[in-house]
Amino acid sequence: MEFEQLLSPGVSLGGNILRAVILLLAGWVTARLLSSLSKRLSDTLISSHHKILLAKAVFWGVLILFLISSLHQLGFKLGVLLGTAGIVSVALGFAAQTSASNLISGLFVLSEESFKIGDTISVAGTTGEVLSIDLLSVKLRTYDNIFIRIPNETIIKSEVRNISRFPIRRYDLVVGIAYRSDINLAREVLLQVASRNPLCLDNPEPLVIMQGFNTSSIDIQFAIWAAQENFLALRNSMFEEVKTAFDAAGIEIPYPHMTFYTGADCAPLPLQIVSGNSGDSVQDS
Amino acid sequence: MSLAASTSFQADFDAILPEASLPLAVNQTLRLSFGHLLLEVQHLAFEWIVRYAWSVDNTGWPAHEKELTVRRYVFKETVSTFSIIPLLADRAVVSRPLSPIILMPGSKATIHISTPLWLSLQIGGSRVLELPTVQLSDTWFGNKTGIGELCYSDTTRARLDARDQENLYYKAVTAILFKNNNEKQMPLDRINVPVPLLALFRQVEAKPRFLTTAITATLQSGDDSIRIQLGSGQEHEAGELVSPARKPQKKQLLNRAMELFMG
Repeated sequence: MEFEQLLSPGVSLGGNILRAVILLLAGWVTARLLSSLSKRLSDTLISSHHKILLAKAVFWGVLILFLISSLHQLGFKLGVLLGTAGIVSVALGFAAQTSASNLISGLFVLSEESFKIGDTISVAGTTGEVLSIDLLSVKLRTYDNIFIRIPNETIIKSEVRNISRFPIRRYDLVVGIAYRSDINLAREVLLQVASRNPLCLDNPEPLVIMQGFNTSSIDIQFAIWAAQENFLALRNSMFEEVKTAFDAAGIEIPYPHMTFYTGADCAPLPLQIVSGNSGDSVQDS
Repeated sequence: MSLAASTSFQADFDAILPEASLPLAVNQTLRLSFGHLLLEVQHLAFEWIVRYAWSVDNTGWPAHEKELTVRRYVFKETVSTFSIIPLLADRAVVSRPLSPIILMPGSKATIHISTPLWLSLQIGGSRVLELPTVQLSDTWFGNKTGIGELCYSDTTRARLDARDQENLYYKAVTAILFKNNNEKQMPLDRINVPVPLLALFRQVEAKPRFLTTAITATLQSGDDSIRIQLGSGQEHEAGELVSPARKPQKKQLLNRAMELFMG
């Protein structure tokens, strides 16, 4: 198709180019203005998540309208142009399948609202704060201050864990006690530790769950709740407080140990310990 | 209220009132204790240093500086006075009666619940710090872990007669009138006292004490919703306003599901 065929008859390019450029510039300014205005809508009317979506839709919608007007001003036949654009977009779709997939996934991510900007999420092994949710990707900042870009297709296909969705969060501390230690005393001590710590919520109540008999210890799961913002502080303080309280109550947290079996008769190992100076050695009898 | 030997000023109950402007000359230090809160205010040239800690078991002033939280405030000019203004807690307080109370159908009772005060330290008219007199534990108030409200947790003796109430200067008493208009029993296991919506008053009697806006909670007939009315209209007769509600409500009537008021 010849370029002139796209133009309406009797239209000259020269005189209208300036008007088309001005129209396009005005469109860009208007789109930016309306987009920023939509971002200023009250939080009570629309969520920040939807505000971003609305701002992008307004920007591109207004800009495309002005672009069409601008092309019309140049005398382009819009029917032919849109038909050509349809064919081009199919071709581009095949050529840029990944981008198209990310784009469509992005629309789902935005509409699903599984997370919003500022949330802490964990996806495909990466945990971080959501910096932006764009049409092609989600940008995260990890705890060690690394910028990560996750394609929206990955988000749609993967399990997404939103860590900061709810105001409170549970921490499960698993601690082992020696077989000779008193289980009831351990339970009592753990609950006392929880009640003394002001960051530990008293409702939902702290739970002490017996996990099982391990090789060297009886494992106990101590499930405690904290407000989202106090989670790390509670987690850190609990280790110290549980250890201190167990030491004070005489409850042993055992090292992994092994029992030797010396044969069918289970005779004790023939060892004699000679006490004295540190230089003395242990001798076989 | 105890006072350290090194201080130069005597402070009493009136120290925690908005109009009480306490003088402190340069290079002087004042130590005060309110409930579990231990507070030291030091005045240097152009600078005020505030040190604080909480002592649950009344072991006294911490032996080591590292046990204290220290804040330094620098001013353009030398300011020689400070004041301590009492406030109610910044979040609702969930009070758990030591023994569960059950209000029978058609009954009503006024229960007096005390909650610890928060103290706002102001130097030269500027608010610098807000501290609770007792460090309360956090709690979640709601049937589900995703829907509810983060509150402070406290226990109460839930006295039925105000005269039995222990007079603690660092606590404020809220009178809650419970009316059970329902056909079933009204258990009062956990009571959500919405203190940020309440004003604080000071009752001037032989034994001065702090009171809050009264609450009337009515369990409606037929459903499980509770109608909450803030204020009895008689607080001003009982005492002078010390601090207004942190979150003033235009409507004095609130409707809440039963579990949002009584767990």
